Order: sequence, then structure tokens, then C-alpha cells
Amino acid sequence: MEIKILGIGMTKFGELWSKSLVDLAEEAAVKAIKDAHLQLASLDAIFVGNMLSGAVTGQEHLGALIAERLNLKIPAMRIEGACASGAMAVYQGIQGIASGRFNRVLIIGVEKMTDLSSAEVNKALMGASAEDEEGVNGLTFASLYALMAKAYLEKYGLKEKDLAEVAVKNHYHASLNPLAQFPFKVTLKQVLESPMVADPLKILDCSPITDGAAALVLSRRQLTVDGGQIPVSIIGSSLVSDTLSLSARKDITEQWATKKAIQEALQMAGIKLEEIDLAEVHDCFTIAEIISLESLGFFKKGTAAKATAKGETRFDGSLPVNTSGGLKACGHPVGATGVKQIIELVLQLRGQAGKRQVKKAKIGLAQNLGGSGSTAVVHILKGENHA
Amino acid sequence: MHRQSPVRIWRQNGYHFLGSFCPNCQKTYFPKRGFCLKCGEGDLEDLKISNPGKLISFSVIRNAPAGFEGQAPYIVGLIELAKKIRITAQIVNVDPKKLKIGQKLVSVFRRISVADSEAVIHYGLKFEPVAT
Repeated sequence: MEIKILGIGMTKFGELWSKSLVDLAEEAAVKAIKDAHLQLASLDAIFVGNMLSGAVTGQEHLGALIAERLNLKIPAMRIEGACASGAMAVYQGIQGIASGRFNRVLIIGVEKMTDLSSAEVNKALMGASAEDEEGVNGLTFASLYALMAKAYLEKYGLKEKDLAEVAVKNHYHASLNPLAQFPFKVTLKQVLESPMVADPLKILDCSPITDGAAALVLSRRQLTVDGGQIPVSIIGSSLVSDTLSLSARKDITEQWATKKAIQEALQMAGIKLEEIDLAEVHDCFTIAEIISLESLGFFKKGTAAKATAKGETRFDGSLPVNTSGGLKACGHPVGATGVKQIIELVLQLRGQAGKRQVKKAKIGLAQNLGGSGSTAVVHILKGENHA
Repeated sequence: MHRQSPVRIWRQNGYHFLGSFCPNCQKTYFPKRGFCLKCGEGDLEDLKISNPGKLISFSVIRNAPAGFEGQAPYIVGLIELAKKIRITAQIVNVDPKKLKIGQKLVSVFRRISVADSEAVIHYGLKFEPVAT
């Protein structure tokens, strides 16, 4: 399978009080169409990734809402899978092309979160958890990942500062990304001294509440006139479900769904893990990046934090991870995140990543999670740059 | 028409850890469910999951979600009961500094949350250390 990515577009990520959900979707969509050197009228369908619109504004039916704003009357549908909604929309768009039904589709990931208070957002996000067990007992997402962190640190004899290295590295990357919500560096000391949210996770271990949108134009074929963009294709796409509740998992220090998804994606792409040059992974909390990297197979269990401290996952390291700044520092508008991860890979594979450009990047991986690891979506991208 | 009140349902189901047992093929499930996935049996028996449990991991929540603001900070944990069945719940009557992974905990009946002064109060089970 090879699905061509013709265009990419995203908004600034951050607290965008002057923009509504549909304003954000429009901006990302129009930028992606322009980047592809296409007109909106050449699209066959729209797939929208979004989680919280109903809970935040009462607005549902986002397919028709966004199609109306874009003046299109084509099949338009919203895909929901918590924080994996964005990558799920990409997965679904690929299915739409692979089935033969569509030639060119627009994927939009969008989320508007800053209209609510922190307590309200926390509650709305818990819609991604097992409400009957985790939600009713007052758990939060930070606490679910804190349970993983506590068990992980104890199992491997690590300290909170080992997790903090992830935040320092991702903020460093964000300082090189003008669209990031937090384009500035933080020190290890600042992370460790930041207020506790759910022990052992501090506020600087957590991804923020963010508004933003990201869009892609996917196509069956490369355009003959493409404005000279370096072609980038999706060569692997997989989606795996695990249990919704954390308590139903045998081992909370690894992600079963990620382990299965990477195997399927590699098989589809016909490549080996070692051929991957860079990755965008789901660092909703610092512990999530560590466990994700190990479950993907890039590092042995218990070793990803030390590798991070050594700089191996910096953009100039042996395996650059989250060069966008990740969810931690680029921001985490939940439905947009999975699409933004793919945009970052496209920028890197085209050689358009500016100050954070990874050298000789040919193959990139994106891993997007829903809930506490209940859904894992993996995409593998290949660029034709740096021959 | 007869309707069951929420309180009655809680009394039956919510104050124990209940799973299901299939009398036809002997398969067990947690939590309680209506049908056996293996043989399709629809008349499953209740299976009471026994205390005490073992603490697998825990955290202290400082930023509470809506409805729990007044309770923060509070402890939540992942607890393993008999038959390796795990659940997440709050932990009470202990200083979190004294909690240890692997410690034995026992369930205790507690108020879980109060939506507002007019709403039905939500009761359920939390955990506390086994008295030594």
C-alpha cells in the first residue's frame, strides 16, 4: 500500500480564544489544500478526528458542520477514539482510498479545549476512560498514567528525574517549532520543582490543554503538477484495541496495543524497525513516551529514560523522537494530535523542518494512543528525499 | 410498572465486587455481565470476589475532576483481588507516605461523591490497609 500525502496544514497550537472549532478546522484545511496545489472541489470526502466537541460546546455532527464551512457537499464524517481520534481519522481515510471508493480525501483533526475550566476538561477527558470504574471513583488521566509511572519506576529502580528528561527534551524541540504551544526550553530543575498533579507526575510531566487543528490531503496517486514538493507516502497503517480499563491489563508497564500495532504496521510496510529514522510518539505524560518507545521496540524495557538523558532521542541523536515538541510542548488538542504527528513527519521527510531538521530522514513513524493505551494507531511514512 | 431505584441496584451490585459464573461451561468473568461469551448462556450466576487485595500501584490526586474538587488530595490505587482480578479505587485511612506497593488492603464502604445537595449520594467501596 502507498497512500500519497499531497498537502499538510496546521494552525498554531495554544490558547486560541478568538477562534472557534470550525475556524480552526477551516484554517488547517485551507492551508493543506494550498500546500497540495489543489482546489477544495477536487476532494472526494472529509474525515474529521475529534473527541470533545459535544462535551465542550454541545456541537456534534462535525462532518456536516465542517463541510458547510468549506462549501462542500461530499461525504463528511467524524471519527472518535479519544486522544487517538486524529490518527483514527487518517486510518479511516486510508481505508476509504484503499477500498476504491475515494481518490482524494481531506483529513482534519481538530479540538477546542480552552473554553472550559481545568476541572471540567479533566471530567470531559475521563470520557475516554472506563467511566463505570475509573470515572466514578474520581480518577483522572494524570492519575491513570501516574499508576503506570509509579509501578514502572519501582520495577526498574528509576527516579522522577528520569521521567523529567523527556519533558526537557520535548521542550527543547518545541523551542525550535514556531507553531508549538510552549516554544521555550525548561530545565530539569524546573520540571522537578513544578507542582505535583498526581504523584509522581508533576505539571511539567503533563501535556497541556490546547486548541488547534491539523489537516492532510491524502491521495491514491501523486499529482503530475505538485509544486515541486518532495513526495511522501504512507506505507503502513494499523489500529489495535486493548481493554478500556487499566485494571483489565496484565502489565501496566507496557502497552500491549502498541506492541501489536507496530508489528502489523511494519509487516504492511515491508520494512524492519531499524530502518525507521525518527518517530513522533504519544507523550501525553512523560511516562507515556518512555513506555511507548519500549513497547514499539526501540529500547529494551527499563532503558528508554536513560537513553533520553543521554540525548539519543534528541533531533540530532540516533533516534529523534517528538521533534515537533510532542504532546508535552507542542500541545495536545486531542483530536488534532494524531494528524499533527504525521505533519511533523512530512516536514522532516520533505526537508522542511527548519532548525529542528533531522539529517537524512527517509522513514518516520507516528504512534497515537487513545485513553490509557486502549487504542493504539501506528503509521509509517516514507519520503523520497536525500537520494 | 415497577422500577428499580438506583439505590436498590447499588445495594445489590455496587457494594460487593461481583463477577459472573457460567453454570454451563464454568467460565468466570469480572465485572458482572449478562451473557457467557464462550457458550452463549444467558443465565449467569453472581460470583463474589473476595478481599483482601494487594496494592499494585497508587497515586495521590491533587487536581481533581469536577465533582471531586472538595476531596483533593486523595489517594487512588490499582488493587489486585482474588483470581488476579484488578480494580481501580480510592484508598483511605492511611498516610500515602506509608503506603507500599504489595501491601494488603481491604474494602470499606464509603461515600464516593455528591453531585449537588439535591442529588442522590453516590456510595461505593474504597480500600484501606488491613489492620495489623
